[in-house]
Amino acid sequence: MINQVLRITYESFSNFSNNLNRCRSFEEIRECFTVNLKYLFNYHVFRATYHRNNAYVNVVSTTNGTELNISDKAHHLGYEEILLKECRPMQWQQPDELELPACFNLPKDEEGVLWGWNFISSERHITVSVLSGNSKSFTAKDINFLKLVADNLETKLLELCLIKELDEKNALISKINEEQKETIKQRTSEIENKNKVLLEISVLNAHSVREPLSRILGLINLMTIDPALATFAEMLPRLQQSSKDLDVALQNVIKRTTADLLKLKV
Amino acid sequence: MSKKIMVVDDVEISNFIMKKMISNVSTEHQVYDFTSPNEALRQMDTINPDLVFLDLNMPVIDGWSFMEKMKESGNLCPIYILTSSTSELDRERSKAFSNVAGFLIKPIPANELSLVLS
Repeated sequence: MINQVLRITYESFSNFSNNLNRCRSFEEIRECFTVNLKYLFNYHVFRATYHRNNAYVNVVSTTNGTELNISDKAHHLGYEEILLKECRPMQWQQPDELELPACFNLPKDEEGVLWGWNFISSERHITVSVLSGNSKSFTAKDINFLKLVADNLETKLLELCLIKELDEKNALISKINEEQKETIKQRTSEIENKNKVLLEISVLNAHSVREPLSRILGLINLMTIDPALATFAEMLPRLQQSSKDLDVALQNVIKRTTADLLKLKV
Repeated sequence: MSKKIMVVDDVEISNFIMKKMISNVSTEHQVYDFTSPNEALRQMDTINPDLVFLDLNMPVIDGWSFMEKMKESGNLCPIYILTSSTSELDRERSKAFSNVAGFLIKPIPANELSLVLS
């Protein structure tokens, strides 16, 4: 008979463990606890709180099902604060004297006992508590299974919390990448605009300024080659006109470049 | 040997200088100067020049458009670009036109012009 009970319990735990291992989300953990936990030991309420970095997870299983909440703030019940402080297994024979949520309410005439454990390691805290009663009695023999449940749950929660942290980091990296891309795009656009303005200034210098200057030099060349090539009357007005054109071109370039460079904050 | 030379520059003074420089090399050359590129294009077939001195920076039709129009009409008359621009960008761009025989910077030295006309 004992062997049969052990076999059934072992199979139940095996099912629970396998199902929990397959969980890839907090929602799947919740479903796993709803389906499998009741076959491992008796309880009215099973509650576990898990903490890693800035993630706080609460699992509450009752006959009505399981709730799993994730928060960035601790939501410990009063007795859990005591468990965390005392760092030892504790038991409350009069749980109705504690301030507990409605899901801890027991049927009339049910004498409740609240069991609590606190498992602490360097990076994580997990507290586990069980509210049992006459009709659903939890005994010291069940503690080993409860510890195995706690270990399995803690491992799975750690895995999912790490995945969650990884997802958050990846999202952050993606966001930074997108911001950098946008910054590069803006800078490239600014450089393109500056290059465009510089090219325009270069063209302006090459054509507008040098054009009248090259005429002045050309007219001087004529006089140098052979003074008889052109008369003074032919040369003078052309030199005057070219000099005036050069002056206008220079003034335009200065005006334009100053305005453009000021606009570009060069 | 006498050549028919077309000079196209919107500034009359530049054409004046070129005409004087060409006559200094040889008075036998016939020079046709235009300050209107459109007019020069219209006269192109009539004059049928041996070579064209062409400015780049002109209003309405610049030197590039002028060469495009010559290309479109199948006119492969040798062109000497005569510009005040010392920009390498213009020199590079001119390589796209197969009939561009040279890229000359104003003011063109007398000996360089003699070489071109010889």
